[in-house]
Amino acid sequence: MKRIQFSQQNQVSRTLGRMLLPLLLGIFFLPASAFSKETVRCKYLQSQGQNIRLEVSVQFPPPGSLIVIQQVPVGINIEHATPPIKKFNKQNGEAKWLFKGIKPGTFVIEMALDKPIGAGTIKGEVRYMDPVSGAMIKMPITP
Amino acid sequence: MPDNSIYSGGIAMVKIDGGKVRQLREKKELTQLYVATVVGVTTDTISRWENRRYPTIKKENAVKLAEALEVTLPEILEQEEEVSEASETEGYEQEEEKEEIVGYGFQDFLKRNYLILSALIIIAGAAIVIGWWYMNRQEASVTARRLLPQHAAPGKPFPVVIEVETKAENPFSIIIKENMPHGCTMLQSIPPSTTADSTTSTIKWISKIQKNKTLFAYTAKTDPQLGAGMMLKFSGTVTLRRGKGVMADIGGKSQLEITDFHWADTNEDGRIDDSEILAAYDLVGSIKGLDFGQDKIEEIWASSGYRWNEAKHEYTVLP
Repeated sequence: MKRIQFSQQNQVSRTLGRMLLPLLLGIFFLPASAFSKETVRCKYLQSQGQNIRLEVSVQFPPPGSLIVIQQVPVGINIEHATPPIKKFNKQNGEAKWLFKGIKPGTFVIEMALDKPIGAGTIKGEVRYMDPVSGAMIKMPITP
Repeated sequence: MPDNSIYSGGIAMVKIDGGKVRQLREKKELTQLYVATVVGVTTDTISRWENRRYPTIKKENAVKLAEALEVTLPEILEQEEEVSEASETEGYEQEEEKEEIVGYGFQDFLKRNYLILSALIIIAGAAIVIGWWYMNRQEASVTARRLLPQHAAPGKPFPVVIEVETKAENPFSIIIKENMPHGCTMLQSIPPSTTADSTTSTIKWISKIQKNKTLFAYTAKTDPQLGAGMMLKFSGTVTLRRGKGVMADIGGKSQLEITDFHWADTNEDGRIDDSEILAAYDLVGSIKGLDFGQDKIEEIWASSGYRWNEAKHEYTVLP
């Protein structure tokens, strides 16, 4: 009877050991990327009409610099933008902003168009170097 | 020998009537010593049997006891002949069993939990190593590496960044000595260099650093007369001014090629695209006060491209 009891208890401890060991190894070897999250998030506060507003939220750690691209339908002119546009391609309606020395927080890009646009006609993209991995990130922005 | 149906693999046990045993012994005027000698146990054991403190004994001993008392085995037994192999009631053997339980329990604990104990030992060992490393990390090495563009146009400025990293908690002094190639001139350094010798193209910083990364950056320009294709070599050392005064070479990039392309135009296609401008700012954008030609870079990025004007030694930005 003693021998039978020993065998059962040994089985339990082996099972516990098998459960503990991967957990311990996981704690030691879990890669840092498992904890990564998006550094930059964008959403349209207003994506139709004549006044377009795009909110950009930057988390910690911020990228060194950031490019925001918004593409309006061809033939639509951007009369005014805050902050000012750095680059505008009239042929494809692509407007670019370059942000440097970014700190964590939120800011809004506003555009005043010469004509109203319908819902879903504007699209955007944000580009930056991921501060953790150094990889180039290209993230689409949809209304 | 009496038939013992559980003899194989086990110890056959029988239940004796201690009172009967005493009665029979006294009737035959036999001493406990005599009976003990015949059976091969102690007089204490005979006494315990007779006092029924351990009613079950080995069948082998019961047989010898019956022989000593000159009776048959059934005459000294109680109702059940055989009980189980589990309970041994001879005093000496029971004492042995008691010791076995105590000793077995501790060994059993070790055997049952060896995996968990091993894991705990590994954790404790790792904690000791990490603690020792933490206490001693002020003696850990300082690493320094140079970040340098692949190429630059002759006579045009380019940035160089030296990253120095240490895990030491307390600040300590280092000397960084950067050797530029002959013909290179330093334009600006952040932090300001301690000495800058134009005759030897050497820049020195003496500074205090502590935990994490410290950046030492400068901009330089090459001799405008250098031809495309020439490779310029950079070198440098970092010396600790504490402890043993250890000196180490600055690692990272050490060569720069003279070309007709802007240093930020990494793929040499005559444009600075989004990834190239982001990479340029990633390299030097965080160094406040360093003029690395950001206006020209942004102008080229916002345009359709640029061309190198060999005669004027300038970039011509295309519309």
